[in-house]
Amino acid sequence: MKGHLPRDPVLLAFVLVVMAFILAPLAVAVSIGFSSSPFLVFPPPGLSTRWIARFLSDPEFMASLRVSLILASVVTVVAVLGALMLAFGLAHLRSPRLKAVLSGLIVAPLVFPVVVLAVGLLLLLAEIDLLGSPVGLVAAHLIIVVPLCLVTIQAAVDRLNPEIASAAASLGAGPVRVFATVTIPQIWASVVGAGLLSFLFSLNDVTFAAFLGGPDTQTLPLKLFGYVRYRLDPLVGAVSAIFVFTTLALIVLADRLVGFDRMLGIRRA
Amino acid sequence: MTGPRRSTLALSALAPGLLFLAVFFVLPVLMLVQISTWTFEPGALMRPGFTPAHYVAFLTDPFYLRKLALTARVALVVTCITLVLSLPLAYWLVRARFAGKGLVLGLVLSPLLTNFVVLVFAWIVLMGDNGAINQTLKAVGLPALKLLYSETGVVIALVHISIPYALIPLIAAVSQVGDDLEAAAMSLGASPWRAFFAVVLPLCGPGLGAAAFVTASIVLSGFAFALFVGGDSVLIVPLLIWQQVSKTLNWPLAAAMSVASLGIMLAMLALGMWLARLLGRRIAA
Repeated sequence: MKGHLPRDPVLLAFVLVVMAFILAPLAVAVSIGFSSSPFLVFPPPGLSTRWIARFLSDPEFMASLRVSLILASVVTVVAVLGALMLAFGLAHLRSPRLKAVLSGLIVAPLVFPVVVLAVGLLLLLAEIDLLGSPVGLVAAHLIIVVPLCLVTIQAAVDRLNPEIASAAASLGAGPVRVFATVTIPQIWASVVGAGLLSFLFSLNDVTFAAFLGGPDTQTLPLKLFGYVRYRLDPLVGAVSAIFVFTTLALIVLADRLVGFDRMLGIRRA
Repeated sequence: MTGPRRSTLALSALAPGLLFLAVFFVLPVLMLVQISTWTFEPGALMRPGFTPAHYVAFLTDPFYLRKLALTARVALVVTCITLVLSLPLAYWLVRARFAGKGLVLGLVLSPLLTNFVVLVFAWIVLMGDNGAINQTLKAVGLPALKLLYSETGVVIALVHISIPYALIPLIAAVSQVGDDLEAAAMSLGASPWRAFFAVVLPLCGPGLGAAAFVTASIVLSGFAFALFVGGDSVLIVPLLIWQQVSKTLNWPLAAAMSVASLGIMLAMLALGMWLARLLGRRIAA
C-alpha cells in the first residue's frame, strides 16, 4: 500500500522511544542485581552474583517467598476453576440481557481503584475477624483475579462450536466425558494463560497485602516494601532480576501456548 | 438438553461466583459508604452514627484541598500523557506485520506483570539527585533536574505503569477499526496521517475513554509509587488514605476520602468525555 502508516518512519521512531521508556527501568533494575559493588551505582562497575546469592540465603526473605508462592498457587487454582464455572454458566444463559448485566457486574472490580477496594475490604474483613488472615488476602486477590481469568477464558468459550459437543454427545459420550475430551482441549490454552495471569498478579500484589496483611501474610512484596523504606542496596536489584526473569520466562511460555496477540484479540498476520 | 434444565444448570454454575462477588465486592463497597459517615474516636476506632464531618473535613480543610488539587492535577497530566503515548503504540502493535509480534506484545505488557519493587527501585536509581539521568545531564553540561521526591518524578513513574494498562483497551479499540476504512480515506486522497486522525482516532473514542478510566484508577491506587518516588513532598490522596489506615487508624475518614475521590474521578472523566465529544463534533462540522 502506498504510504502505509505502520511503516512510516515518524511513527516507527515514536513507537521505539515509547517501548524503550517501558523497558528501560526493568533493564536498569536487573543490571544492578548483578552488580559487584556494595553500593547503588549505575552502570555497575563489575558483574557478580553475590547479591543474588545473598537474597537466596536470607531465611526471612525465603520464608516470605514461600508465603507468596503458596498464596499465589491457592489463588490461581480457585480463580481458574471459578472463572471456568462462570464462563460456562454465562455461555448457557438464554437471556442475552441477563448475560450482559452479570458479566458487567463480575468485571466491575477490575475498573475500581484498587485502594478504594482495599479500604472496603479492610472494613468488611475487620467486621468478620478475617483481617490479617491468609483467607482474607486470598479473597481480596480473587476479586481482581477471577474477572481477569473470566475475560481470558470467556473469549475461548464464546468461540466454541456447540455442534462438536453435541456430535460427541450423540455418539454416546456423557456430559463429563464431553467436557473432558472435547471441550477442555479446545480451551486449555486460554485456561493456562488465565492461570499465568492470576499467578503473576497474586505474586506481585502489594496494595492488598499492605492494607489487609498481618503477621501470617508477610508476602515477599510486603517484605520488600518494608525493606526498601529503610534500606537501599543492590539486594533489591537482585530480587528485581529474579522477578523480571521469571516474568519473562512466563511471558514466553504464555506466548507459545496462547499467543499474546490472540489473548488481546488481534488477528494473526 | 432441554430449555429449563439448561437454565437451572447455568444458574447453579453461576451461583457460587455471584455469591462471592456479593460478599467480597458489593458488601465492602456498601460498608465503605456507610462507615464513611460513622464517628471516629481515637480510643474506640469508630462508632456507628451519622455525621458528614469526614466529608466536610476532606472537602473544606485547606490542607486536604491542596492535596486534592495536587491529585487531580497529577491524574489529569498522567492520563493525557499516557493516552498520547499509548494510542500510536497500540495502533502500530495492531497494524504492523512482523514475526514474533506476540512476544513484543508480552514485553510491552511486562511492567504490568512485574513487581512494583522492581520499578520503584529502578526509578530511585535513575531519578536520584546523583542518579543516572542527572549524571548524564551533568556529563553533557546541562543543569541537574529534581526528579526523585518531586511531582515530575511521580508523574513519570505513574505514566510508565499506566501505559501497559491503557494499551489493553486501546488495542481492542484499534482492532475493531477495519483497515479498509483507512484505505478508503487514502484512496480519496487523504495522507496516511490524515486518515489516522480523521478515521482511526474518532472511532477509537470508547477505547480512549476506557483507557482514561483505567489510568485515572491507577493514579488513585498509586500509593506505593507516591510513597517511594514522591515521598513526603507528593502526598496524593491514595497515600493519605494509606496513612489514615495504617498510622492514624481513622477508618471512617479513610472511607470518606475513598468515596469522595472516586466520585471526583468519575465526575472529571465524565466531563473529559463530554468535552472530547463536543470538540470532535466541532471539528467534524
